[in-house]
Amino acid sequence: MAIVGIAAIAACICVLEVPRMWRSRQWKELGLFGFLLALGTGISVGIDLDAGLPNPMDWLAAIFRPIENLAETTFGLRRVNEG
Amino acid sequence: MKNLVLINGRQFALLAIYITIGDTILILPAVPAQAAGRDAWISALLGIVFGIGVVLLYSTVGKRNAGRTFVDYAETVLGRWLGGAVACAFLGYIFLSSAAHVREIGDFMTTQMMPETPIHAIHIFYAAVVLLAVYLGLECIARTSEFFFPVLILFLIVFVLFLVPSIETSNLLPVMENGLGPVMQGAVSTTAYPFAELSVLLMVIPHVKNSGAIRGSFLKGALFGGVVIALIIFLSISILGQDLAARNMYPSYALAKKIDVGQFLQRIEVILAFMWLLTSFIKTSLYFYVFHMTLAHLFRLQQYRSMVLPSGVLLVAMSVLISPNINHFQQMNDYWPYMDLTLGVGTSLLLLAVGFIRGGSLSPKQGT
Amino acid sequence: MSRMRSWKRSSARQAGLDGNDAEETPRPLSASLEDNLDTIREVLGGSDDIVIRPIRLSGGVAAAIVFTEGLANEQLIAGFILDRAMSDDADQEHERTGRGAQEVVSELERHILAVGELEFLHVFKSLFHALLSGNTIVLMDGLDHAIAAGTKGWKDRGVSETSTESVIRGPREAFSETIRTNTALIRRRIKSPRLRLETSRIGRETQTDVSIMYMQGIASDKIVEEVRKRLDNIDIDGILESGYIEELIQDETYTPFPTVYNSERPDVIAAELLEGKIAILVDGTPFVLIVPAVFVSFLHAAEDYYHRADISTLIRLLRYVGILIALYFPSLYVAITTFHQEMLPTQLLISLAAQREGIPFPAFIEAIMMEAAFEILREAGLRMPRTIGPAVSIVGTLVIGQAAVEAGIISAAMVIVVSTTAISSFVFPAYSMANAIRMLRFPLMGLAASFGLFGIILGSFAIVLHLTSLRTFGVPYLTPFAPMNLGEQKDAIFRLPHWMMTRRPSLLTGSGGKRQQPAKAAKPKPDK
Repeated sequence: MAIVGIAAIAACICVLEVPRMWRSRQWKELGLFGFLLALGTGISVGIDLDAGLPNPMDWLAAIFRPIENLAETTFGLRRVNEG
Repeated sequence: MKNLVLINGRQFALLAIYITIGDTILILPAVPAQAAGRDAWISALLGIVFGIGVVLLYSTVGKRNAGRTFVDYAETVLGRWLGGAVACAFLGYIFLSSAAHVREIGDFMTTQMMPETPIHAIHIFYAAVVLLAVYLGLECIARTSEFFFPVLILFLIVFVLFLVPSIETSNLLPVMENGLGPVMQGAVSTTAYPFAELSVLLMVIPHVKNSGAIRGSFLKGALFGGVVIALIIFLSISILGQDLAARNMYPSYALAKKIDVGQFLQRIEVILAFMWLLTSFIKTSLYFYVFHMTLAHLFRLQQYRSMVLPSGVLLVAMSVLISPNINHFQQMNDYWPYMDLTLGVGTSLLLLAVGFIRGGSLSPKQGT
Repeated sequence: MSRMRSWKRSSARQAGLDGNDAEETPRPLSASLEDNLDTIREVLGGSDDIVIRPIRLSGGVAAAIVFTEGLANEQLIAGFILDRAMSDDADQEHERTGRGAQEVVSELERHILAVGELEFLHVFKSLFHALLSGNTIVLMDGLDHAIAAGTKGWKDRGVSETSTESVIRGPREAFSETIRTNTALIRRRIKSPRLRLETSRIGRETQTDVSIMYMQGIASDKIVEEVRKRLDNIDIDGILESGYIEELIQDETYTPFPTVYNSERPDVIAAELLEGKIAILVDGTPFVLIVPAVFVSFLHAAEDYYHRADISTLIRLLRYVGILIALYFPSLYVAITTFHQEMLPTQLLISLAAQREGIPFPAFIEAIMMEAAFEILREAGLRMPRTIGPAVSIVGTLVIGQAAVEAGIISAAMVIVVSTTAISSFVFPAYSMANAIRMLRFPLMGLAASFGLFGIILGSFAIVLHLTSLRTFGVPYLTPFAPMNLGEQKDAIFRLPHWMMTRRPSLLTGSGGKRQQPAKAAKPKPDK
């Protein structure tokens, strides 16, 4: 059900924006537009279907937690109330 | 480089204020309260001190690239590939930041004010208005921020004024019981969230009319915002006590709930909600606008407006994706400041250093 | 005597003699009187109110006068043209024999046609325009051009009192439908030679006279040029009211907010002209347009400047409060009763809850129904005959509202909300802005019903964003709020005394000059 809604919205967005880009021959913009829309729609559908999509926050955590630990040990920072 | 969109120095300072206060007014007090306990207000003051340093760094970078955006400058200094990598990192950072901001609003609304509304609906609605702001452009965002600024000040004054009678200084004592460590830990977040996140303004600098006054406006805005935040943190600790301040997800909202003047001026925490929605909205809009600017630069687009709608879909999707529940989201407070610092302060230092090595003095360069 | 000056129009539209685009070049008059008269009769199709009166001038020259009955002042024609043209042959006949047509013409011009305005016409298009505007055409045999004598005079409403913009203190004169009367009313108030008037004709069939007036040196030349350009670009069948012009020249088409101000009062127009704005007068309507118009223009009333500063400031603030009420009251009611009941004091909450107890509809539906009912009543009240109109719209709402409350369809609080909103919306001096607010109320109610206060707040953001994106003739719509211009705040929300307002609005004028003496000199001091 939600997928229908998502598809409808995606279609509307296409109808609104594509003619303008087509007329002015902005192929690069059109490509990027398509990519972003596909990505967004895909993720939305994936969320709806509980498809177990990877979470970017986890990637960030992977990169920055080590930095955090490094900084804390280097500067002797600590917390009063843990967590 | 000819810019069609121009904002003046005062609008720039206002944007700095809005970014500094942004979502920090609601989210921040809990973080240093967890770290430093009742010394969180000292962390806030330290944050301001470090923050000034950060702003000075940013305005130096801003002056140096005179007329170019941050990512443009990165490419010039670091070359096409390395600069492009930095730009991509910046792009991802800004996008995830925007998604996180939307998520914060959604979480706040569903936990505090409208529990029955599905979070997707709130995200879509909020994102829609943000998309409108981004579509209309920087001038409109700046003018809207100008328009609402007196209202913001008024609400802030009312807020603080009505809370002052409830201050209990005993909540602040003993001071510095646990030493400097926790205070510094708190200072990490109080520097990062209000000040390091000002890095987006580096993308906006070319549009400021009077580029000579940038440092002044930047400092004034950041300082003003920083003082407000410090004040809020101070009030949170002194009125709520360190325990409540640390446990509550939205301490300033809890503060607002405590306002009780006579018998009729109660439960007006909606006023705080308005303030926070305003600052957060401007901040999110700016972030998302800068996202599009970076996108347009990376891919050498002629116009960014067509990208707004699909990125909006992506934004809503991402804002739901990034955390299955609130607890997960709260954990980001551990490492998010480091991301802010790395991508804001780190890249600025990198660019300045490389620029210095390559080209000489630290004074503003034209051309190159 | 003010001459009418047309500015350049594209030649493609200077077509034929009856506006028919098929003919590329204007058709000139012929030297034969009969030919010309035949052409006139043919093009006008023998319309009954066109009078063709053949006369014989001194020296035996055949001539004719043509005029439109009802548009031309027949007394002027009889007294100053016919009388003079036909009666002076006795004395000077012997001087005239053998004279050429040219000399007779100059004789006519200098001695005989005793009217103020004279114009020479060479093509039929101008002849018809002059004829149908009320002038008298004098045609002579052997002459390849005609003389148009200014004899305009038709029944006019005259200068009467304004019905839509009444004041307690101030002049009551209003414009009439004749453009020349209107320009005169403005000239009466601004006797400066810097007040300029330029006229053009717009509308293929209606050929309506449209004039612009501005103060040379105060109004920005760029904006004046822009106005001229936009008026020139209009290509339409007919202009019947200034509203047509307003729509065709305004900046933005997709906004409910008006960007062109209009007024029926000469003093208002004169005040705006003095501030550097440009007035557009349209023949046939008493409503004069003012360009450029920013948001605050619609919240100012003429009276603000005639009463004292303190009361005017307060009333202006009241107006702003009125806007907020008119815009937000129903939405706030819906939002608070649906989502945020905890915000109300307990007593009020209990009584509201009791009222809403038996109501079958949710607050939002209630609000929509009442608002819709009120809007219907309001529109109906406008069209009803004078005697019943006011009674129906106000009493009707209250009576119907009361009956509905007693029937248990809506709650009493809702009636109060809707009535207060409706009355607040009449606080606006400008009807066009009131319409915008009326329209915006409904989406806000929808947002309030779906997202509560969050919806209202974000909706307001969206509205302000939209407002900030509007420009009227290059001037940002929300001046002087954003971009913030502290100097001009003196006249936006407050109305500071005249001796304090020493500068003209900077974005509207070319130079932003000082208006009067600085405060020290002008402030009145009591005698010691």
